[in-house]
Amino acid sequence: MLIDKTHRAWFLISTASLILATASYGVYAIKAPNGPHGGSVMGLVYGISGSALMLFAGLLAARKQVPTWRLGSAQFWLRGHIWLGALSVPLILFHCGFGWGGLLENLLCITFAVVIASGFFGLAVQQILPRFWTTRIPFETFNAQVPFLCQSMQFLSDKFVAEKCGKLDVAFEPLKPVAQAVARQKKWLKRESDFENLLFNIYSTAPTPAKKERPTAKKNAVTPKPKSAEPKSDMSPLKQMRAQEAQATKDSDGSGKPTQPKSPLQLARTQAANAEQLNKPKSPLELTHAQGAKARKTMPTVAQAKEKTKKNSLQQPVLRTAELKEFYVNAVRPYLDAHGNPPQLGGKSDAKRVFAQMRANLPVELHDALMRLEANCEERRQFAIQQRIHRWMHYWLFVHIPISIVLLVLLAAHAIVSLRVVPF
Amino acid sequence: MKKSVMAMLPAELADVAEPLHREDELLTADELKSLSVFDELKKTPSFEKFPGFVVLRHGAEGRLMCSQGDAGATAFLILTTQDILKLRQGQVAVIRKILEARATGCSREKRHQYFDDLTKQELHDREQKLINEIGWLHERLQLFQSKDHVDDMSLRQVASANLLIDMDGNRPRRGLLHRLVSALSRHNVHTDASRPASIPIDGPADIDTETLHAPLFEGELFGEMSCMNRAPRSATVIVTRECYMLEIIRNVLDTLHNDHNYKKQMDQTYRQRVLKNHVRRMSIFEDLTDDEFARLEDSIELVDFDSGSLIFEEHEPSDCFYVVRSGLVKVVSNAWCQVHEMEFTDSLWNSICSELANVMQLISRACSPEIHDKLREFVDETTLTDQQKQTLLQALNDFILQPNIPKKLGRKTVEIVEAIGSEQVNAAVAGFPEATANWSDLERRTFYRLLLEHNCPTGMPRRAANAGPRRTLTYLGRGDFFGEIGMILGQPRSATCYAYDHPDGGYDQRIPDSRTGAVPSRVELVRIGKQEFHELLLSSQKLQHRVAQVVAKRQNRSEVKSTVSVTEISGVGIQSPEFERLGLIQGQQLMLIDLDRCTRCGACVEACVHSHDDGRTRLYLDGPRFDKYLVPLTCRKCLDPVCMIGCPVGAINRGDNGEILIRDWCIGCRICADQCPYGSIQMNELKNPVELSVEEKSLLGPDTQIKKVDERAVVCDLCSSLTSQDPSCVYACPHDAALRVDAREFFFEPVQERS
Amino acid sequence: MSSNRTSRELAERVEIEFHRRPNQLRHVAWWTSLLAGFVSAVSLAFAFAHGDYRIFDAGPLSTPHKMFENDCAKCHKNWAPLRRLVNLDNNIHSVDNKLCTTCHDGPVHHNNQIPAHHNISCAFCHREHHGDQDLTRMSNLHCILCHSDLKTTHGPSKTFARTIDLFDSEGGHPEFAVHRLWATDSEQTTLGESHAAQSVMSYFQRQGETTARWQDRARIRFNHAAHLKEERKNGKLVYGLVGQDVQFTDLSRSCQTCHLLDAERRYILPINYEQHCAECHPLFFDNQNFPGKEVPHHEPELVRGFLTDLYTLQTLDGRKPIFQAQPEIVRRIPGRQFRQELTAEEAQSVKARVQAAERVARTHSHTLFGYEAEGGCRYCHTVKQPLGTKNWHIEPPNIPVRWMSHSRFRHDSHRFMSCTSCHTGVVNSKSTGEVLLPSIKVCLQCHTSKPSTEMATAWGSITGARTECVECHTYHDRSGEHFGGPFDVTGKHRDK
Repeated sequence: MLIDKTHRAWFLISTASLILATASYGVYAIKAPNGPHGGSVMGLVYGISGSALMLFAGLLAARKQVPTWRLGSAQFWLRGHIWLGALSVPLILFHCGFGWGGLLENLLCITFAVVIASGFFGLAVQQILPRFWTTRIPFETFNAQVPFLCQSMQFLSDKFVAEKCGKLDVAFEPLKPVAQAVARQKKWLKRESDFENLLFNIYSTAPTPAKKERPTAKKNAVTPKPKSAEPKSDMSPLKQMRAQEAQATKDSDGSGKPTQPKSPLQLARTQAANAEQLNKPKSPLELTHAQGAKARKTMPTVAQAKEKTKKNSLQQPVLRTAELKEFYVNAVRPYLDAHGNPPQLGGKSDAKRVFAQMRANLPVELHDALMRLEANCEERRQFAIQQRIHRWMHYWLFVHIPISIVLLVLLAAHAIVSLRVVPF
Repeated sequence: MKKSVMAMLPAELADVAEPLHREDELLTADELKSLSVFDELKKTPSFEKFPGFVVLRHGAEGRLMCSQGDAGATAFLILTTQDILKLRQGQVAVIRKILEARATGCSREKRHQYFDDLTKQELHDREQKLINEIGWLHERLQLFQSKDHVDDMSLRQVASANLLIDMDGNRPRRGLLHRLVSALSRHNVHTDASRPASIPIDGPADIDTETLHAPLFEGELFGEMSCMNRAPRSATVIVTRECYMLEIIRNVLDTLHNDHNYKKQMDQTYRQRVLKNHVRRMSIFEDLTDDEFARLEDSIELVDFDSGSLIFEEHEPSDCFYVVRSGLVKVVSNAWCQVHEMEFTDSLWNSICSELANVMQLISRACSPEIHDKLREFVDETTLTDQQKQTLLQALNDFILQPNIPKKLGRKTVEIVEAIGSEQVNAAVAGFPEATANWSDLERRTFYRLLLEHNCPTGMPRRAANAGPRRTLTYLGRGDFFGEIGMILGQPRSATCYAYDHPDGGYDQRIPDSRTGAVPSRVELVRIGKQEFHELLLSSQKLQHRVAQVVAKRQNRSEVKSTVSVTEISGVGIQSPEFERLGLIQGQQLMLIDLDRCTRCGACVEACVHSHDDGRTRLYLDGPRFDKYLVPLTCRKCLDPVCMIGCPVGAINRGDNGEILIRDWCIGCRICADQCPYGSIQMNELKNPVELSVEEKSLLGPDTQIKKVDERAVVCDLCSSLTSQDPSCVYACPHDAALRVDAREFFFEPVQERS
Repeated sequence: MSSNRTSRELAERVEIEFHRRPNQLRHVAWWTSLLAGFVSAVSLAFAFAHGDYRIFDAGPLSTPHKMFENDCAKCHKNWAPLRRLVNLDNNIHSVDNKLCTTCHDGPVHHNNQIPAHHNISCAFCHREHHGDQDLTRMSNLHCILCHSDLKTTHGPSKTFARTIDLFDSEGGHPEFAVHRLWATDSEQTTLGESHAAQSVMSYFQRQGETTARWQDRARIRFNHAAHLKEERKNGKLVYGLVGQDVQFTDLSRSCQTCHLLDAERRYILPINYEQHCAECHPLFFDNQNFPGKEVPHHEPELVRGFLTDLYTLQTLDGRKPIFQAQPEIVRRIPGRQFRQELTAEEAQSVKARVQAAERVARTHSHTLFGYEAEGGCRYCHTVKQPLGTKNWHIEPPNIPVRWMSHSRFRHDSHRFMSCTSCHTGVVNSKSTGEVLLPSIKVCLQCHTSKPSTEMATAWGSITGARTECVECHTYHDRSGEHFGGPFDVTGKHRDK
């Protein structure tokens, strides 16, 4: 949490109470016959108020469990956590009269010290790192999905490279779920079979998708029923008729001579085709296309020209694409991997060098590909940095939280024993 | 006609239309014309132009006509038995003709577009087939006659429209703690406690919320919306009894719509079958007795509005209210154009007349003579009596309400612009269609109003100043209703409503609010007049009670929290292209994350997950940055929520809080998600996809695979379901990094209102 | 680059259900904290179950009580802190006096004190659980609590100083009673009857040569000044004591020639004649007949008897000195008559000689070894002879073994200082009437929180010696303590 002007109220409150406590402690310390100690009334007051503050601070964790409850905004709680937690330190010191006490108390002191220290560390970190993060990582995303993004990057650039220089021979199984999610989001999956096709087009190791044509499926869906309903007498004549016909087709298939009557649609289409040869546009679709073509008369030629050049460039440097592919598979892909972090792309400058080299090697047509890969690598690198910062920003909690739990447990023990809630 | 076709047809038909199979056939133009539907028409559509685009689908029992969420560009017309019988007989006749012609070997002229190409054998087969069928059709007809009218309908049902949704399945199992929590705190109340009795779909009938079925009868038409503006199929239609359906495309549909007779018939069916549902959806009518309702029903009239035309305008007295029968109604606030007395101050009154004087000649160009005369009367008035004031207002409004732009002023927008050289008008007119003829009512009125304001700088009240920027409150679809509260409470209209014709640049990429290539389509409304309503009110005790309730509720309901501050859109941000590109200005509840404070702890997301029953997040901390802020992916409560356009089942609408609300019967067509310009609506996988019920399965047969509903759209509801209506994400941010702001207040300093 | 990608583009890359995956951070935190809590709780419980309560101690016990460390119930029967908090009363303690008094009988401090002795909790003064420190070391505050405004059961104290806030402040510790007394010449003493100094009151009387005043009436005549000769050895001032051989005994180191320390080197042993005086002050009586012979340092009767015996024998044996040991001396056999008897005139002469000898002995000077040696009873003692009677007696001397019976002091721990630096005026003191006890001021020179500058310079930068009351004063009247507690080695409690 960023400490700034908005904390004034909290600051004032806690300093005021601190001053109060200190003053009262001074008086009490002088007055007490045998010095300040936790057992005396004042000591107990300090102790109890101190531990109350501790408990409040501890409650933050509990409050996090029920984020939707409207028990004061999280912001309020965190501020309380920070300021009152800090305030508890002097109170506890006053409580123990700057003495150690017994073993249990010593443990308490130590854990308390650790908790406070870690807490302040965290606070300090939160002052600095967010800005650092913001400035250093324009490619920011939320941390939870970094692995996902890495894999999806991998998949996408797989796809990209595969389109450029042929199928890849890499293990795609680990990518599968991510790939599916990505494809779904990119709306590449119109029908069920699409996904296999997609994989098949990218990875040489992927299985060939099972071809399944829908109409036949439909037909099967319909045909079996009459057969099953054969014996029924009250069958509609149409059904009976269709049943017979089904029989007919069956045995005709058996005879091996496929005499399927042309469906009227096919007829229509064939006609349309003939019509087109006589180039009188039949369907509005054709019309529109024709018009469109007319509209941009010059365009297509240019486009085609481009197409041609692209094609040539793609055909001609075969081994070059192979080179790119190799580079991708060996260097880039592992780097994009969620975990891998090979050295030669680790550093910004290294990556620059490597890619520059590749650019020198490869023909101009492949440079955009390189650029794209480079961008991916850059993103991956930033993710790496981001994760590191994230660790710094949050891992102190692994000290702070468990130890504070210990602290609370010990505190409870201490309270029970010293207040003798249960005598033994 | 051609234009319309262009606009309607997708890149390739295969994508959106069922592929044909062998039972389906194509009909010749004559055959089509012979059908009862068409020969009743005054002007039959020109079928000759598009052979192969009107398909006769044979619905074998259990055939899947269309499945919900799929793309669709066609409407289905279920042929009555009589029609099909007639058709078949005709065909048999034709075949016989052909056969004997062949036998005689003479006369090569075409008799039938398709049959001519068949071999003798095939023709015989077909004849045989047809004859069988005719026999069977006769049987059915007799069946109809024999039965009395009561279960006549049930007999005539040939298909059922099903909705594959799981209203309250797919709730994830939550941890013990969570369940404990939700048990303790009644925060996570389910919003859709008030479920409508029926879900409106793109068909003659609505779907019953309980059974999730709606019957389809012979002679009915469904899939209009898909056909007209490419909405995805709103329901899964399964044939329950052998029948024939005519799959038609837009131009045919249009002709049908334009035809008077057909329309009457349609209205009839609507009154019979749907009206009840739609009107009853309104809480006030829920517990009317049937005869009371019958009385209401008579007084109801069905009205149409062409797209872009205003239904009513803000501040008009509300004399009636409407229920949407079909089409889309856009509700906009701060969009009135007429002048109202409250806008006028004394100073204005004083100066208006004098100013009118020096613009008379322009006015004369800009309006019809009689209005011109009306206005002329006031030219050299110095002080106006209230009477005169009224008349003047009347005149001005007449001027503004003119139905068209006179040619004198200019045919094209550009001409107009140079005719009146004012950059204010300029700016306003910039986005308007090229030809003034195509201007919508709203546009025209805006223009006129501006014209006056421009010419009478001191006399005319400034609309923009008084109103502030326009806000699209919502889009209303089939079955929604509007204007009732105003009428009941006797308040003037609180917003402007106009028939919104959905702009349509193809299925995949829609460009909201750009009216290029729009096809004139129609919005059909049910109009319930004031006095009828009041008569009913006097008679019905229950209704009075209800109304009282509504009034009370309305009074103490917290007004929709959308503060429209009058802001000059001349702030620093607006110039920056970034601001434009990210569309921040749209945000009324724009979420921002202060990156200097955010520790990326993800508390906001957790809160989001926790505060929704389905345990899904609506918030993704990924997004573009705008100066030191991150603009995460979540609903920003747009000024113009285009996501609401064209939900096939009307499952997305605004809640009491002004939030976007996706109801339980979302069928997971990606429309809204695709529509949202800011990617705030995410399609979430359903853990257990919705399957067909057992009998439906049996009906469909074993290996017809039907696309499961495995997705649903999820959008931030601003935590309106919680008792405290503030977003949890902001509430749960410990580092006060998360903000929800109204962009127009946050990024621009508001300038104080000039009254 | 996310900074110039639009929301729409970014929306297409998000992992929609990322939140379904367990949040690593939360998980680890959650489990570690569970574990930590569990471990700590269990370990405490374990220690508790094993009856090992040392962890829960409020602090280590002092050496004498160390043995009870693991058995709280030994001392703590009723648990006070909560009550203490509730009643806001610091005097509620977790230890019952009875439990203390089973071993220690802390005798009463003063019978008329307020609050009464039995009302004060032992724990109020004696703090345990502060590690190995002397439980009798009290802070002044405890004493001052009453003594800053001293009340007794009958009104404000007449006996003692009523307002003592500190030892070394003015109006702090008053001058020792003896000194106060000695200084005054008023009729009545300022001492209350219960003051410890009453024990030495009998040693004082109003008498004097010049002006009547209270002074020590030790009934012994001793003149330090006469005994101590001043001399300078190599420029250094030393005091000497004239020996028999008219040589100085160097006393610069200590006065231990005469004033010996007791066994535990706390206090000074009383002087005795045989050890310290006899050498120079022999008790001769008849240099003609019995040269160098002394009468015993005893009561007059003994002396007279001794003399009679001596002279009788001498007469009987004529010229034979009976003291030459002779083998044929005839011992008197019981039942048989003595061989020789004195005639009447012989008896008369003996009597006369005895009286003469007595007279000599009682006088305080006679010659011996050629110089005037001083001796005889009267020299130190006051010899009384009631008129008309021949028998005389010596007033017994009374010198208190300890002047301040209620205090404690260690000469030993002050040994680094010369005796005279505290016992000032010894050198010049002529009369026994002077009290040579150091005054409180002397103590205050070192025992102060603010040492004088010259002292500071002399000793290097020092803070004063301790000024706690308990340095000298004992709260409990130790004389009241019994010996032999109720326990035996097995730790069993046997009632007395």
